[in-house]
Amino acid sequence: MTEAHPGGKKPKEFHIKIDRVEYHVVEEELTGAQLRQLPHPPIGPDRDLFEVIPGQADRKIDDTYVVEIVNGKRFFTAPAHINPGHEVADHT
Amino acid sequence: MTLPEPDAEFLAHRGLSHTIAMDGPMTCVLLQDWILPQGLNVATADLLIRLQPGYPDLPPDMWWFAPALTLANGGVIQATEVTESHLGRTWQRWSRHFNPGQWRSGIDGLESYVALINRELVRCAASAA
Repeated sequence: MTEAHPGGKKPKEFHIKIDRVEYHVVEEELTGAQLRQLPHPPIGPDRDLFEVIPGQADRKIDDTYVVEIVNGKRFFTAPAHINPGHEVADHT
Repeated sequence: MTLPEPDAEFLAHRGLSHTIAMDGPMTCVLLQDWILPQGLNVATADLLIRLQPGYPDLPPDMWWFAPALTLANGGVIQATEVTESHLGRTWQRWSRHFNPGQWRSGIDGLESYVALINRELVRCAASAA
């Protein structure tokens, strides 16, 4: 997510974390889809992406949602679904 | 059992009201007065997560609420009919299971599990609409 800057001025770089891994980006805004491309391999559709917002509930980030990037912003992923069990058959 | 550092940080940094207790080999994390989405019979309930030995390499399995949750219209939520006793209380068991490999050791923990629980709550609550 780095870009060439012909003016020679080093762009401002933001340090963000996804699943506790730090990434350096220069964009001031990123969509959910772009954030999903930062890790290697990228975050797949089997996991949801969330933004940690201090003092508030975590925000689920959809692919088209635009996130303002600031230093220290933190994201995490979680399994997107879980299977309801069978009450009689499963373990107790 | 001491919770892994990321879990302890999660509980502390979010300011979540909680207690941790052992129940046999299981480590129980009790989150008090968990805020529930609209569409359920109550606005808050206590949420119990039981961590098996080997966690966080091994995933949690199921979770429990007290009091029992139903849809606001009285409808029963899928796979929540069983009640169990833990920590001296009666709990509604939410029978929910991961597929093999779905839980990512080294990445997933209470933070992601709670996010998943919230998502499942929202999905269930929406089914009453």
